[in-house]
Amino acid sequence: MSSDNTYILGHTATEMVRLTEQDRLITMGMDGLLPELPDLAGIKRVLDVACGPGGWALDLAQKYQHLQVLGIDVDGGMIDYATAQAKAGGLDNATFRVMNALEPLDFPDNTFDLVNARFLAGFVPQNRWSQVIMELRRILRPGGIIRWTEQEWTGTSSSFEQAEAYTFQAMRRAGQLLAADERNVGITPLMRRFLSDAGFRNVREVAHALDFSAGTGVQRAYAQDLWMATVLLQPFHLALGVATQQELDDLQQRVQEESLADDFYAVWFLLTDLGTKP
Amino acid sequence: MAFQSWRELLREVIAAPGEKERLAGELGLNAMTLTRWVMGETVPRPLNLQRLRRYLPQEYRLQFEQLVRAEYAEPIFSTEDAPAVESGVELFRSVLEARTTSADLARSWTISLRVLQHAIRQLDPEREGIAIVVVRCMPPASDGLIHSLRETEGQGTPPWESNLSHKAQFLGAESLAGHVVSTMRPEAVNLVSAPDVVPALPTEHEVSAMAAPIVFANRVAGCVLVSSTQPNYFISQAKFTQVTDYALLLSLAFEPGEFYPPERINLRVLPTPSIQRPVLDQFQQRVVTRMQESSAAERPLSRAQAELAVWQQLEAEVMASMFVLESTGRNTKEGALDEQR
Repeated sequence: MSSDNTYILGHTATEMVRLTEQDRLITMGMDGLLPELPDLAGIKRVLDVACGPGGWALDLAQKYQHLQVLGIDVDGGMIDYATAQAKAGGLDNATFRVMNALEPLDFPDNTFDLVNARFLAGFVPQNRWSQVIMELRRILRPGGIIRWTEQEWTGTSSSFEQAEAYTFQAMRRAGQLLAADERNVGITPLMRRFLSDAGFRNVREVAHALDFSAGTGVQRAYAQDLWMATVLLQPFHLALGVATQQELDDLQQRVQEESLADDFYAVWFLLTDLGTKP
Repeated sequence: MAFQSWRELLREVIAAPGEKERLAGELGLNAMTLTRWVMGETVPRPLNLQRLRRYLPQEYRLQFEQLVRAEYAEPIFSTEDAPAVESGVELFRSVLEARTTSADLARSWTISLRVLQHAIRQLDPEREGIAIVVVRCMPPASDGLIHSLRETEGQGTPPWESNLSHKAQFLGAESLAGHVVSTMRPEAVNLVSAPDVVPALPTEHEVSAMAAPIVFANRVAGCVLVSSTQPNYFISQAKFTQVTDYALLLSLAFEPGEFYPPERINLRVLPTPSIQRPVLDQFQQRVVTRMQESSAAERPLSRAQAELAVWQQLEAEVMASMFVLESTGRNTKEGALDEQR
């Protein structure tokens, strides 16, 4: 992991694979890549911020071959992965570059028609939000659109609640938690304000509920995603001292048992904010 | 209808009302550009020829591809293009990294999925419909022999589901996968006209298929099974080689003890998918029960251990049901095809 990388799940081959699978689940759950923007007239250059292994950017480039899609991520391994996937699919309209969204971005003003960002809360410290959003505004052309998605989830599994509690405690200690208490990340209620404060106009919000309860057909895929996340979060939890190795091992076992059970109910809420640069 | 050139074919297509505008819209081009291509006034870029093929009506695509290949000395269509080799180097590197660095619990899943994620893009760049599944040998039965295979991780493009892992089933001697594991040789078949020497029972949407064995030190662990909605999809040497290369890489997702010498492969003919399904639908809850019981007994099983135990239990039940089916003659290829109809 590079010293610039504040992403809490770190850089591993498993995380790249997990995020790629998660992209597919999210796109399916949201009914498409850009469900809030049915008309792409005037959109040609698209930036995907913190693109990870590039799943969303690659699918967008695949579906809309007239778009030029660029993904950026602080992690060179993720960028290599995404670049290899673009080559495998023969997508010459998808490119990827290493860039840290916490720093000034290496693009001129007014470069992009659409900037997409998802799950920034996994790496943005609480005192850097305004700076990050202002920078995204700078690189959008006038009339360009920001599309920003964050998440919260709820379910019946006590082990997931415990895993989340460890994560929020660790995020608090790392200075990455906005909420007053340690029961959620606290970003979704603040998104509209961040966009408005940065000068975006026509800010609107669209919510999606991704149900992965027993009987939905996607329970097993989400269970795999969450189980892998608990495995990958272990170093973060241990480093911040919120649990012992034994507690985390026991938790992992319970996560697997509960997430596959036929009395498991859970919903993942995604909130997408859209705003236009004047 | 036979055409002399791809331009002639395109002229025919855009003569239909609204087709020129539709194609131009899909390609993000002016409709007049298509007319110029047809007239030979301008020459499309290779990428636009790839895109044009993708948006042509289905019945024209194969002939269009053949006509373009006949005209251009350089490869145009991406599945046989040079970047596949370039991206292959990164794939090999990332698989080796996963083998080296992944936690024990996550290693097999990470490598399998890494290979599938690459394969789904490379083998189906035009999103025509493909399914790729990793197939494993079940552990030996009490006689020391392997009697069936089981599907594990799987991915698809429409009309298949994106994630096929929850549709896993047992495969036996009646299947292409079974044949390939038994012979330890890759095989491609056109299922609408499969030769009798290669057993193959087409599943829904499947028109052609290929399987390549996953081998280490002359022992076999399973195979990778690829299905396509298109006829003769694996007839080209490039695709055949790509699938066998993916099988080579997938060997890194298995532990040495999961490879078996050929003399221990003794696959049985298994019930059709629809007969297996009611048994397999109990899989997930049985795994949970097994894990909960083991935790209560303070001898917790990992998910992988619990799953393997349940797979073995289900295999025995499926095998037992086969004896009943054989006596009633209900498990035939014709019967399976009738079910799909």
